[in-house]
Amino acid sequence: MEHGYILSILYEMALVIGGEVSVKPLLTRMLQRMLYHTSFPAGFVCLALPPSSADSAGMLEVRIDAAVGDYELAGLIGQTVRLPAQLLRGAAERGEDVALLATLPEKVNRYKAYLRLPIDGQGVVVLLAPHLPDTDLPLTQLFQPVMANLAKAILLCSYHDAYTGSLIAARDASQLALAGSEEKFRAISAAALDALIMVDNNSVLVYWNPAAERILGYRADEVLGKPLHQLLTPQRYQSSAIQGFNAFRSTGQGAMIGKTIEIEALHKDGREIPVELSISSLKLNEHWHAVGILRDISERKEAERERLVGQQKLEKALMQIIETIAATVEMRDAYTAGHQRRVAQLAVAIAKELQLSEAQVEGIHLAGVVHDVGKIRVPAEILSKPGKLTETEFRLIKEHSQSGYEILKSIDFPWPIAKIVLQHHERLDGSGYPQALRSDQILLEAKIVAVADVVESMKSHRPYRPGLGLDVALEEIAQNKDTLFDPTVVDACIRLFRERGFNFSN
Amino acid sequence: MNSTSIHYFPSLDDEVIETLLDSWKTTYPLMGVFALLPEAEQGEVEWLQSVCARRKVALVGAVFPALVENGEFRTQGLWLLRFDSMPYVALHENLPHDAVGAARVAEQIGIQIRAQINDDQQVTLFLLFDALVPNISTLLDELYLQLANRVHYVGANAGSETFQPMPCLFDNARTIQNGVLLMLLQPHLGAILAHGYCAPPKMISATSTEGNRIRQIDWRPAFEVYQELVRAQSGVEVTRENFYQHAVHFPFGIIRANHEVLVRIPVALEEDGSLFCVGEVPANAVLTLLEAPKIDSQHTLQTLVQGLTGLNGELVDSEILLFYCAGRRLHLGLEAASNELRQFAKLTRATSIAGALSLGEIGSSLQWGYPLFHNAALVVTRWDKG
Repeated sequence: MEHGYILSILYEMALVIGGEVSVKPLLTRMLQRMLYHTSFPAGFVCLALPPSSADSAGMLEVRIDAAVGDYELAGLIGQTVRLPAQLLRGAAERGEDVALLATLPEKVNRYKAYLRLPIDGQGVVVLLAPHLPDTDLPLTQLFQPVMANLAKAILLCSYHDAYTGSLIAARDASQLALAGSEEKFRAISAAALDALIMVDNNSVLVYWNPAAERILGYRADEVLGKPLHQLLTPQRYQSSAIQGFNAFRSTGQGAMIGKTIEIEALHKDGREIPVELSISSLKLNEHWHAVGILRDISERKEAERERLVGQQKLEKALMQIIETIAATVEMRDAYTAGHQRRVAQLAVAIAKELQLSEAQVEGIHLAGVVHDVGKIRVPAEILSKPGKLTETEFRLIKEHSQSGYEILKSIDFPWPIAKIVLQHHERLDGSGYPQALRSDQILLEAKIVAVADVVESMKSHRPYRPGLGLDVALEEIAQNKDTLFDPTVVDACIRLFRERGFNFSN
Repeated sequence: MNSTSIHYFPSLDDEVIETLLDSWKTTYPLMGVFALLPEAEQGEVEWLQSVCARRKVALVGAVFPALVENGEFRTQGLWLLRFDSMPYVALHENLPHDAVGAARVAEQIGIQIRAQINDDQQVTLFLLFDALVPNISTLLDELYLQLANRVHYVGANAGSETFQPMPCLFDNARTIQNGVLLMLLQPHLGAILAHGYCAPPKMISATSTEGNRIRQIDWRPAFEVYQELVRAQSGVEVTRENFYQHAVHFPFGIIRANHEVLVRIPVALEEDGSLFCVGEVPANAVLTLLEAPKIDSQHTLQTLVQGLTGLNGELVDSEILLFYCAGRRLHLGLEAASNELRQFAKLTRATSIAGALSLGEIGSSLQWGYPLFHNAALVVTRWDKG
């Protein structure tokens, strides 16, 4: 054998050793190449030889760290086995020793030849063969430099394995935590009663929980990967929804983000169902995603509708009762017949002119209709007495506000009807009755009814005088603006007649 | 196997073949057949599959450049070798060419084979590769890690002598390429491989290789060095045009410490001067150029006969399966190669020797040895006796 060949073997072994970063493949690959070069068919490596002496039978307990070429030996990798100390310890040696190799574990004990190569304090490589392979290479010397390098490589690979192992352990722990978190999320998502839906920045559905399937009728596999708006958004909302989403795509912002709205969504069967939708945005992989929590409010809506209908019925009945009471009052006073209805009509118009809420307008209407209900306690002959009233009669008349309040106060209206009725003869300067309240003590609604009452009364005939006409009535409130009547109410009233063409209807 | 378990058909005749299959099946109801076809008959694979389907006979087989029959190479005909009981067989196609993929396939094969092995018997894993699989050595290394010495490794490469891609491995239903056909013979004592190529002292190093492609020799473009070596050693001017014609006479040898040589015949030349061999060349392998190598035929044949006798006893009246390397035939010439076959038959006094011209051989010169991929070799095994 020429030196070039020996050097080439060493060169190749050095490359093999330098080409691995982990202990197990390093040992396996190194064993493979050794078997190839030496023609030994099998071999194993023990990295840690115990410092203790062999037992009485000359055996050591060692772990097999790698084995190639022997089926049974390969099955012992990682296991601690009893091997003859004489085979493992000592300098590099090549020889035949049937008796020694017969002490190897069962089924591995048929070899007759061995090549022992100590790994510079890092264990030993043992190659085995049924017969000593023919060679003129000085194998025991040849591999000495390789073994020295192998020892260092094993050390470096051990460090690498430990480092990689710690990284893997950290990764596994992280994955475990992530898996646990995902599991929790899945459980929560699955148990949620509300639909949990996520779309990516192309408004393509990427998440769909079981509640979404229950509420909207689609299974996850039917909708995932498909555009949200085509499936779930009613036609009339589609263009604005798509437009809104286009803005959202780049900014994560939008008119509906962070809000909870009530809207309709399309069910798989084509029905529209009312839903309460809360939308938030989140960034995943540098792209904005929208997460919607969608609650089916069909039942709530139905309950609301029923309640509304009931309320409307109640209100209607209430109105009918009140109007009946008002009519009763007016039946006793022919001259004021229709007065309350007309006051209510004008008061409502003023309230609307002042842009009061619908609820306030409704209360003012009701209060207007019954504002003179207290007159039921005033003798009819006084109410319809032509000519001037005596002081006593006038005092009786003036009691109708308090009487109206007494009649109405026990009724639990959603509006302050009784108070409005009580205060509708109060004046800003405290000259009114029954409590001589001043401006800030009087309800706005009462101030409105007061103006409407004065205008309607002056315009209409009374038993004691003919109708004074609209102009006189308006002049009256205009003159007493700020002193008796609220200026904004007066202005609104005059505006109604002068600019808006208000007329009392029949 | 039972005697008369192999049969050569000089022509493919439905009736004759079906008659034999029926006769075999009567005695061996669980039988199957292993078919060898020459590449000139490649088109008949489908026909053979239909014949076996009609007779409900399990079939595996391969297509080779030629068949070997009675000391002659045949480009027509068909060999049918009977399994008394159909063994475990598997066709794996689209073998991966990367190291990770090879390890994965070997692991799968290992699992499948381990599941089939009977603990009490010696077993031979017979591997027939498509010759164009570029990483056969790597696959063998990986298989050895999986199965070690639990099986004997025997095999050969099928395909076309032109090295053009060709579906060359088949069973009853499929005909595949870039794959391997596995046959698990048990009980079976393995095979003997020998080539007798002698290594000259001149060494070179393949300094850059990739699987079966040698890019550089001694840190220079491979073909350039190859031309110089052939010119210096024999005065022959190798060109791109006459490359293959000469390359069979100037193969590379990978030298091992026990003086054994792994022959690598370059079979193709790339534009960039890379040389392609059938069989991988390890990176930085020490190569030698086997200049018009002398082949010790006598020693080769003795090794084969003694080896087989050692394994299975007397060979008289035996039935033998043989693979003979196509590159060896090209190097020796048809007459010398045929003579080797006749000498082998004479030495063995076998009843019948079935075989094929192969494009690479798998085995070990040692019993229980590390399986190696060879060129220029003969592989022989007893068919009638495990």
